[in-house]
Amino acid sequence: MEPHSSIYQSTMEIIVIAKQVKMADSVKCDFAGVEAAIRLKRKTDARIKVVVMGEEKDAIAQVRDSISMGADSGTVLLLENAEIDSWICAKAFSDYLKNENFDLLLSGSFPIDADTIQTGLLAGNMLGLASASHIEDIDTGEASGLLKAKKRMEDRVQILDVKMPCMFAALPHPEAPIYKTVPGINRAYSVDIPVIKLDLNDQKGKIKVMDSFKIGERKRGKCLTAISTEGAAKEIINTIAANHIL
Amino acid sequence: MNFQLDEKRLALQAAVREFAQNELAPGVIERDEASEYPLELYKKLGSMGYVGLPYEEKYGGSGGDYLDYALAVEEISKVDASMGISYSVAMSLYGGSIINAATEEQKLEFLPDVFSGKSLGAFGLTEPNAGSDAGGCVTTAEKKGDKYVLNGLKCFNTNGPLADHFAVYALTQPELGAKGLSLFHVKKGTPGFSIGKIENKMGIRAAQVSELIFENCEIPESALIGEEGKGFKYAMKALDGGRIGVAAQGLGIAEGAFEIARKYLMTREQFGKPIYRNQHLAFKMAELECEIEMAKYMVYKAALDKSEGRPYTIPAAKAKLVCTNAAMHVTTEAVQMLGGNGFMREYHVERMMRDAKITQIYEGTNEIQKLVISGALFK
Ligand SMILES: Cc1cc2nc3c(=O)[nH]c(=O)nc-3n(C[C@H](O)[C@H](O)[C@H](O)COP(=O)(O)OP(=O)(O)OC[C@H]3O[C@@H](n4cnc5c(N)ncnc54)[C@H](O)[C@@H]3O)c2cc1C
Repeated sequence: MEPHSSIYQSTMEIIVIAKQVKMADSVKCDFAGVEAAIRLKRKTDARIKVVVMGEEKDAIAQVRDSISMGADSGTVLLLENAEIDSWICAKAFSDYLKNENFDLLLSGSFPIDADTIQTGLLAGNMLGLASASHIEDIDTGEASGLLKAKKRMEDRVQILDVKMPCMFAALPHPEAPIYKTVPGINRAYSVDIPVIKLDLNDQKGKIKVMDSFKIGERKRGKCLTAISTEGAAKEIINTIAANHIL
Repeated sequence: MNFQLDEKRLALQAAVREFAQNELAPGVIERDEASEYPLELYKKLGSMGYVGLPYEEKYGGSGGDYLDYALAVEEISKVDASMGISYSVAMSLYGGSIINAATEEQKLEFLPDVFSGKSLGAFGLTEPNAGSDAGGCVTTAEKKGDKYVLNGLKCFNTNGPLADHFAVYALTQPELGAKGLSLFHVKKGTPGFSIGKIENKMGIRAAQVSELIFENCEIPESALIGEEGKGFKYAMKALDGGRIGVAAQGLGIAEGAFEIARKYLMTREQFGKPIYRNQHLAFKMAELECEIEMAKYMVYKAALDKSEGRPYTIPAAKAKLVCTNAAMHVTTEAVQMLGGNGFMREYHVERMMRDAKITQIYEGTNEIQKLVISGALFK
């Protein structure tokens, strides 16, 4: 079944998925998705639901934190009897999401998934959604049913016009933290947080991560001095061409 | 008996801590030096619901209780004791004065702005010749037709230059002394009301403390809060709540300095080892840790006594005495343990030591707290 968008006449429905990764003695939580959702909610009427996969106690805590920050509701998914990898998680998310109504699906980008950003994009793919990663900023689009997203590339940004329903993996904004509010905390500790157990019948993982790379540091530009106007123009054109801008 | 904060309180505490560490800590040294109050940050705190914590939503509060509020004052004061007191005065002294005695209509008019953190409230009781002996006020409020006319000078008013709302205590019947004292709400900008000298202080330098001057200042009859002649009682009740705020401020200052010292002792090396390996310093820290924990239980208990409707005058006085003495002791020891660096601005503890001193003085000096506590012992 295709997920269907409400093509938000009034309220945009956003679902944020997050998967927790257990490290030695702590749990890595990814809030980039919910932060992107909250930023968008500040610009337009939206409702945010978070779906967190992890161990029950930690996942409930992440849902509560998300609601405290501004999400509206949340659910926990527990995977049982499976060898957890990105594919298995994506499959579980997409199975769950098939029956949900949403316009935008969001995940984080870096802190989980061994930094490969796979789970969200895979889930988006399984649901047949237009998907994009490294999304820095989201705005409502020019026409209804469209979103405008800013995608960070190595050396530039790309502005995407995307039709909803769609899936974005959002980048974190550590420079502009979103704080918990008192009404948020009150809501987080009064709402019901359903815990759904998915029995995966001993499924095996399908993904082997060979290697992963983060976006590199942006390089400083080149400064051309003591060069003729013509030479400078040529150099600029060459640089533009080499970077596939032209 | 339960010594554990529940999950929701822990979440609230963690949230205020995160805000304080991220937003208040940067610039705290500069604000102290320049005597500048971060009003925008206070408003931001308000917009997230952290200012009106102990009050009902219909008055602009966020529906928590006094323990939530004490936890917030504590977290803020770990980093910035100036904001700690400004917040506490607006909530306990201004807010407490109004909420304890005003009519419903007055509460709805005078509280939401302050409880939502959009503006600050101040409390005007002390006068040059009426400090510990607050009954010695000489500022008058003379009834003329449907107005009161205020004349006199209040000194040392926290938030004075910044506040929009003032709880002012003045004599409606001067011949009765303390029994002739009444409480009024005064708005900033009322003709005849001006801000006098702004104090240049030893500590809490970012907080703004000033005189309030009343020269034939006319306020409407409807600005009388509660009954004429009950002002002294209202002031003492507001101060009971305020002392919980000051206790939490002292606790926060002590904890802030303690943590800086703890980290310093682990990283500073002399004689070839980190200095905490000297038993003298480690034992000193053990003692301070106990002092802080005692202080914490006393202020949390006083806050819960107030929230849960038990008498809290004596618990608040005890908490104020113990917590503020802990603040002074811990900060003084912290400066010593940091050696020369402790004396320098950038290590924070010297500011905390200057800030700690005032907590032993305002909202009733610690001698006055002993008067209150011993008074109950020998009734
Ligand atoms: C920075 C700052 C902010 C303040 N903010 C406010 C405010 O917002 N609103 C407001 O109304 N006031 C405020 N105050 C006033 C403050 O509450 C008073 O300064 C305090 O109550 C002490 O009064 P005093 O300064 O007149 O000292 P005094 O009363 O003159 O006391 C001097 C000394 O004598 C001691 N003493 C006095 N009587 C006794 C006694 N019976 N037994 C034993 N010892 C005694 C005192 O403990 C003290 O050590 C503020 C003060 C300061 C410094």
